[in-house]
Amino acid sequence: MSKKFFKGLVLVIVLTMLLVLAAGCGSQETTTTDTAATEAPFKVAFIYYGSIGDHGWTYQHEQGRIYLQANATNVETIGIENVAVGADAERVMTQLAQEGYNLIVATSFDYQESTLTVAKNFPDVMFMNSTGDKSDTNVMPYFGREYESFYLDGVAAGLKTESNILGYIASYPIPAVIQDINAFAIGARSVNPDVTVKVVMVNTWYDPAAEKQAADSLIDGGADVLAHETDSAAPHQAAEARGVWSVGKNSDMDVFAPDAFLTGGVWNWGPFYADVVNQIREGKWDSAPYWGHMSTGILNMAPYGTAVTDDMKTVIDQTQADLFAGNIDIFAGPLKDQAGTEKVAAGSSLTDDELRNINWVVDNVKGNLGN
Amino acid sequence: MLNEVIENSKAPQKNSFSQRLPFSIEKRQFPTTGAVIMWSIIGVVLALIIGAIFLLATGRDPIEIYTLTFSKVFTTPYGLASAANKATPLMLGAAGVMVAAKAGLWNVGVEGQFLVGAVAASGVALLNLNVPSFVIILLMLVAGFLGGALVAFICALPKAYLKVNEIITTLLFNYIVVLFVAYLVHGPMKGAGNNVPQSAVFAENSWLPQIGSTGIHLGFIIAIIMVILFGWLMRKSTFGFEMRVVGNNPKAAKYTGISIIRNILLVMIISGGLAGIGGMMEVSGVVHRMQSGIFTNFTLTAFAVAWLARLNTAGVLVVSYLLAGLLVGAYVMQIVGMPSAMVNVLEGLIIMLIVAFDIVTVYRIKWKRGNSK
Repeated sequence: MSKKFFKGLVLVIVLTMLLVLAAGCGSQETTTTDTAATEAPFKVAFIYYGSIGDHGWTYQHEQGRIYLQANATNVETIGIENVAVGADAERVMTQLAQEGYNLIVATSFDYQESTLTVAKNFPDVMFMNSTGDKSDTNVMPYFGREYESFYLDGVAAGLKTESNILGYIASYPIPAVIQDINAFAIGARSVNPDVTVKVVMVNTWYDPAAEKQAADSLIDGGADVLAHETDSAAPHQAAEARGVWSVGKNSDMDVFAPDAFLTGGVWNWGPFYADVVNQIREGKWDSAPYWGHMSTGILNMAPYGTAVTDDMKTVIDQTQADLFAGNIDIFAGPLKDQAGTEKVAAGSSLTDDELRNINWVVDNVKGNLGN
Repeated sequence: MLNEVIENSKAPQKNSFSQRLPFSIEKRQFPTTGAVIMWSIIGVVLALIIGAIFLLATGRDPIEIYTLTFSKVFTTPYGLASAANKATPLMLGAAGVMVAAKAGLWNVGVEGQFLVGAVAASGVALLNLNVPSFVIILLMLVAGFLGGALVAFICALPKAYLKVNEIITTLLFNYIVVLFVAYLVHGPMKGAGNNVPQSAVFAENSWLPQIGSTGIHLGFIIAIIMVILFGWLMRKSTFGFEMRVVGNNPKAAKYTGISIIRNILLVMIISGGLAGIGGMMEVSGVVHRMQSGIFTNFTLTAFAVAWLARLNTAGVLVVSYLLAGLLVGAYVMQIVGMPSAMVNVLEGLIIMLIVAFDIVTVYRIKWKRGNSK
């Protein structure tokens, strides 16, 4: 007897499903046909390490994707979130290439090896790898000179601090992060010779709880301006809650910390992505590493927060103008590392290659990099 | 499907609500396989229907998304191979959970054992020994087993001698292991010439070979054999019998002279060793280097497999493959246009509903005929 009951139940469920699905088909059919243009659209896929709701790194890339979709003609874009590094990333890129995507943008340094591997199997598909440093015929590493924005962050923090201790929540001891720590410390020192920077490594790009803990421990250690290399807004919220200040990166974090937020770099990937797509279409694409200066507009400073005084604004604006004009060489010698060894002699500076492989921090940075 | 029905021994009360219903609900001693499979399918279907409602509400076509996902994972060679590779460490981890559970132990530390197995195997691979490939792979398998077994053994010692709850020891040890592995990949194991927290790529003679041109690595077959072997060992051998006695009735074990301490240690060594081999296979077969985060949520997923399979060997093989397909499919769903958050919801719904319907399989409904009683 129970068999009959089960059969009845299965029947009901299957019928419900069919009804729901039928309703779904009916409502969707009209939209699918009119997209068939005469020319096949240029398909671009973005792979995100985090979720687009992080309001940070991934969010800004998603803004770039939306810009591209809206401003380039006949393109089709998609963003894939939360793609784990390694086997998963490799599989997702392979599947996208098999799906006929023309350009695959892997927006994390951690995807570099997977990107290079998959790119070898699909020579006709173009790949871009954010913050990477290895190119191939169809792989273009790209990044903006984020350290320039951290130099300006450092100037703002160095002017604002009262304790002369700045806190820095860092993700991993990789060159892209070490450049920023150094630029921040050098920028702060340029306006405030007594300033030191305390660094805490959290070994993650996105973990609001860990970022908040790190922020609190830095504030407990006397820091009154926080900078961060991680992706969430947690450091700003911690600064706001504790009544200290913060400088940001990736996005405009002012909404999370209206009293604490000073300024910070905000990525503006959209126009760059649109340029790349045009170059590929016109056959002018060059896969050589791209490392754009702030002056190209790939990275802008967020509008000043309420805690930035008019005097500070004057100094920071002037510094930015000098930087854009090429009057400031951030990594000009003399620079010493934490042990006091001279790394850059007076009169010389770091080359791009040296910057890409940098593994030491300047002498007013306190804390172990753990590398 | 009508076997072993325990009649309700309680005398029914007169005019009670349950007596007036046209059917009564009775408990089965064992759920039938047919019922388990059917209710699992109903759970999946129901999850898909709920997902479809969300998709419709956001203006997407559920039938297109579902059929595309299914066909891309389970009908293309690449999808099938991806699921097989993803299933490999999963079935070993689930087998580890299963072996421990049969002896009444909760090994919540399979993730740590998996990681140490991966690290130990990577250590062998990075030695770049000048010996034939199969020797290296054999050594890596042994290292993976020993690595995982060592972690489980450490966690089992307090349980065996001091009766400390193994859930606590295995769970907490996971955190130690995760940080230890992070230290290794940031420090001693880090590949030369880069500042990235990962080891150098292994030499190709330490990669598990592909099976023909399928894209599936040999570990898949080895894993299936090992799961069957250890499942058989637990079911049929004296050794397995002793362990099950320890798990089901420790007092009986004591009176019959079965050593509880020895069996707890042994079963945890096997359980951890299996998870460790899973780690070895992931680095040797798929990742080809050591790095953090090679398999996120390993413990949770392995437990899901073991319990969805009702701690049954054949079930572990089937469920690990299907769940791996779901994990692979999660990205495919995004590619065909389903937002990531909704993919997670759907995944959770499917697992939750299957587990929820578990309760139904334990009961049967008996219709009353007329006034026959």
